[in-house]
Amino acid sequence: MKRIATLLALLLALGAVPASAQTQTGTIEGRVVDEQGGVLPGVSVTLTGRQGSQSAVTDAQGVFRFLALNPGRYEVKAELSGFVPISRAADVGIGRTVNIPLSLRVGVQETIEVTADASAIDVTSAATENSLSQDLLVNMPINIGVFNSATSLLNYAPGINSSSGYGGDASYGNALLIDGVDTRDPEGGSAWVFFGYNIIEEMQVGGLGAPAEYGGFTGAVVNTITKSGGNKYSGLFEYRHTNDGLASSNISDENLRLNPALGNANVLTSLNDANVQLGGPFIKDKLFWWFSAQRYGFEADPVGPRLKQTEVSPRYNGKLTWQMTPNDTLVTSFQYDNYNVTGRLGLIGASEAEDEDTINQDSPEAIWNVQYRKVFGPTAFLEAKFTGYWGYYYLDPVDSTPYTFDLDTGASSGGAGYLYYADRGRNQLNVAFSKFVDAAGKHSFKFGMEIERSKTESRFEYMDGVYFLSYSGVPAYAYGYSYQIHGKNQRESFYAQDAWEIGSRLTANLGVRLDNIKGVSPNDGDATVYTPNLAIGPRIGLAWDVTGDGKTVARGFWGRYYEGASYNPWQRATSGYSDFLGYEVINGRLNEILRIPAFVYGIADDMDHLGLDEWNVSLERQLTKDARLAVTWVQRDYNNFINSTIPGGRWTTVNVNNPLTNSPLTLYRWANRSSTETDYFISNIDGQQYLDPSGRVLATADAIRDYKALMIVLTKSYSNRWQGQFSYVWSEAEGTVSNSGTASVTGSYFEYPSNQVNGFGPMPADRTHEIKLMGGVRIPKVEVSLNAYYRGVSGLPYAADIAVSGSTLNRPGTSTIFIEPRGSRRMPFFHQVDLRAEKVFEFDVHRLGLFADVQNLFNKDTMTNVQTRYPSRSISGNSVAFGSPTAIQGARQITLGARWSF
Amino acid sequence: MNQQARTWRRSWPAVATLALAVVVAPLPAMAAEAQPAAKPAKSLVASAEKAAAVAAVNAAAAPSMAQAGTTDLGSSSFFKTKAGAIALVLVAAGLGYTIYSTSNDRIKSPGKN
Repeated sequence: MKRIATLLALLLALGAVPASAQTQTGTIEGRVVDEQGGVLPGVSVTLTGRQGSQSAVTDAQGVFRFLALNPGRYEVKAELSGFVPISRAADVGIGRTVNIPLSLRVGVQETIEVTADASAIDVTSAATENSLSQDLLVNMPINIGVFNSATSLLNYAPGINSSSGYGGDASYGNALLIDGVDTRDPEGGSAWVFFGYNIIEEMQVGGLGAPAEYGGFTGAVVNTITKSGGNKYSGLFEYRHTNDGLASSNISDENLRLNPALGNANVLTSLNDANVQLGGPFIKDKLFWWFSAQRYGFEADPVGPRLKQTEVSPRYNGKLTWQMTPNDTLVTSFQYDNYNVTGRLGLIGASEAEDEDTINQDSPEAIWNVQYRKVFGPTAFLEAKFTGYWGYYYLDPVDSTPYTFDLDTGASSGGAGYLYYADRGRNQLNVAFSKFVDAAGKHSFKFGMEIERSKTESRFEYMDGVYFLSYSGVPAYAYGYSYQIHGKNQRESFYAQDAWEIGSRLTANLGVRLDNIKGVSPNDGDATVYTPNLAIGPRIGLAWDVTGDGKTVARGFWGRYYEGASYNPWQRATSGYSDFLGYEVINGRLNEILRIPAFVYGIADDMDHLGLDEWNVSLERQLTKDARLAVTWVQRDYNNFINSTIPGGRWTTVNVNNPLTNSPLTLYRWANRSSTETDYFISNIDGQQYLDPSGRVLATADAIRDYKALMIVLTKSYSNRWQGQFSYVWSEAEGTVSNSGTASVTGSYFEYPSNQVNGFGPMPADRTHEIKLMGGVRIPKVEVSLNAYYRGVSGLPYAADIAVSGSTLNRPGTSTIFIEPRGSRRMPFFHQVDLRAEKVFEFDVHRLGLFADVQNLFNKDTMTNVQTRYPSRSISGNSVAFGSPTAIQGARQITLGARWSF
Repeated sequence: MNQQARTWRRSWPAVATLALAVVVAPLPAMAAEAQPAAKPAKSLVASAEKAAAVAAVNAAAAPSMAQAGTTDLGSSSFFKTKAGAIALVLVAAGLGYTIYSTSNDRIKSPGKN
């Protein structure tokens, strides 16, 4: 055994075993005993799932184990001559080990004794995660936004709101995996692959206490497994429809008075969503297929003068599973989709844009996955997969007229103003080797390596190269620049982890992950531009089976995580940007008056990749066979923020009036702009100092974000005609680095010290109180299923701000400055109830459902965005006061649907 | 009559027709597959008691549920039944519609020309 461990360690060190992350399978294990508790070797154990059966025989300790199982429901049957056969059902989740203790009693019986389902709690794992099972996905009135992106489903999980997972950057911080394929934009980390929720077999939302095989995130991990074919044919045919006749209006007179630009309610004027799925065997027990085709299309009449926003997305998914031998499995899957969008906003905002002022979007994409699994008996298995992603995202304005902003009236005119072309690609090779060892307790080792190569190309330009500023409709100035930039991310990651069962009740989860990330710039002769230090992520967790019966587990965890490889942190350190040009417009002709030569940001050689430290403790208890309760306390300390500063900049203080208090507000003016205008530098910015001309420290960059939360989750899986999940989360995310996007790794926030005045406070996605309640009941006799989702969350924080001109601070552009501490106020508490009522017909193996979804059942009109400029701002020619709504929740809308499945 | 009501009136027949078509078309076919001895009301209740929501949508997922029906979903002869034939027709229609949409609804960027 020592030799094997040594060999594995050596292979890992040499990188000869590429290994996988983000597992897609689970394990069933157990011990078979007799009524007196004596172990029973030689018991025949049969596992039956939808892709057939496999057998094992218990070893000398009475232990059996089935490895590399697809998520789903299984039946475990144990048989031994002279004993009554016993069977037990178990749900295998992603990355979970289901322990099934079986007790055989002496006797001869023809029928099989069926016992209760196995416990849903993994008492050997220190990870806290929530899964969205098909039960919930199929029955809940899921509202996943206009893009119908299942990646938005993470917002249904406790602790995640506005796509910010546990304090992480909204979108950018989340790892989004579909069948193990990393589908994030390699530039900015956001979701780039869209798919319908009904292709999902299971979606695991986690990231708290995740073992070393999980990396590349600072928010949540969304690990999605799509459906597979099995020995039985299965099918799903669904159609959903809504239109504006099925929608209400929730724009109140009061809100219209506060902001006339709200105009009309945000509703879908048309939705037609058709989906067909079919799967089954090519060869029984050997080769299975499954595919889905979906045509998703909607039209919306968004808030503001725009009359139409549309999307049409044809989507194809497929999966082939080949069980070559009982121990060899090959899985291939793919997705192709193309989302075609009209009505996107460009430079003209929602409050002013007409249809011709918008942008059309052309964005096809494909993902692929080839995975091989090899099981070496009951104690070892290998997973290897090659995955990839390709896509582009092209934005073209409907009207190619350059954009004009009128300085007298504040009105915009012209077209959307720019084009943006983005091309993306990623290839990834992951391999993992798992080994169970009985030595000084039980060990479950896993070693792995990942190799990622991704690329990003982006092109941006204003129409005719410029945008205009005018006075009373007469163009006075024009400005413009463009870029065509390329980046290549290179990442090699290694990890080793062990779930070490020390005795019968305590398991130590130990691991370490190494991420070696580099950024290469093709525009600079393939120079390696981004070279952060090796990211070392230790993970230490303990799981204690408190009651010794597998039903109560106490967990503790500390670990360090690092963000994935992306272009954003080092993008501005690559060439490809044009000069910034300014013109005076005289008689319609452009006369150059300003030229700021293009420059490349400097970047530190010695810096650390964005990361966080996390510790959490939790207690989880199986209350009944269907219900469990989990209480978790988590703290996250984000660090290594990456941003740009002007190291040679010198600053003097300047006072402006704070209109909120009518007192002076001290800001900072760039004293040596002319000599340091191109002196921008990217580094870890925490602690960077801002000096006055004499070298005295005026201010220090304080780049922090902390997150803490108490989560209480009560889950009741479907039985006795009802299911539900209730969660309450108290959380606090505060600091100086916004978690609403990519501010953790890019932006100009730290370049100018004035930006940081009043900069500490609750983060933009902070929700102090969060209640999520999902519940469903099937009413007998009438066979109507009623399912509801309630979400109540604290309003988002905001603070009053003012615009300070570039001339006052001697810097480019206008600065938005807080005039009270960040997050001093909150929007009203947000409530929404969504409902699904479904009439179910069941015949033989068929199920037919006719359903109606009602979003925002009570037609609430809570503000979801707010006007923060103090005391007011002009929107569409109207003066809108500070604190007025600029967006409210979507109005009540009914969607009708029908589906047939077998 | 306001715009909203007009739109509702316009779309409701289509929705109702669709719903009716979905209900009416498969039901006789499915019913024809059921064992004559089965009493519909009793069968409804019995299967509803057994059916977990997930299993109802993907009955093949659960080994125990796979035994619930009389139709053999493990054999390609399923597609020779009326329900199987309807499934194939729906697949062909859905796939065809999606393929048609892929080319017909495409917004092609000038940047790719």
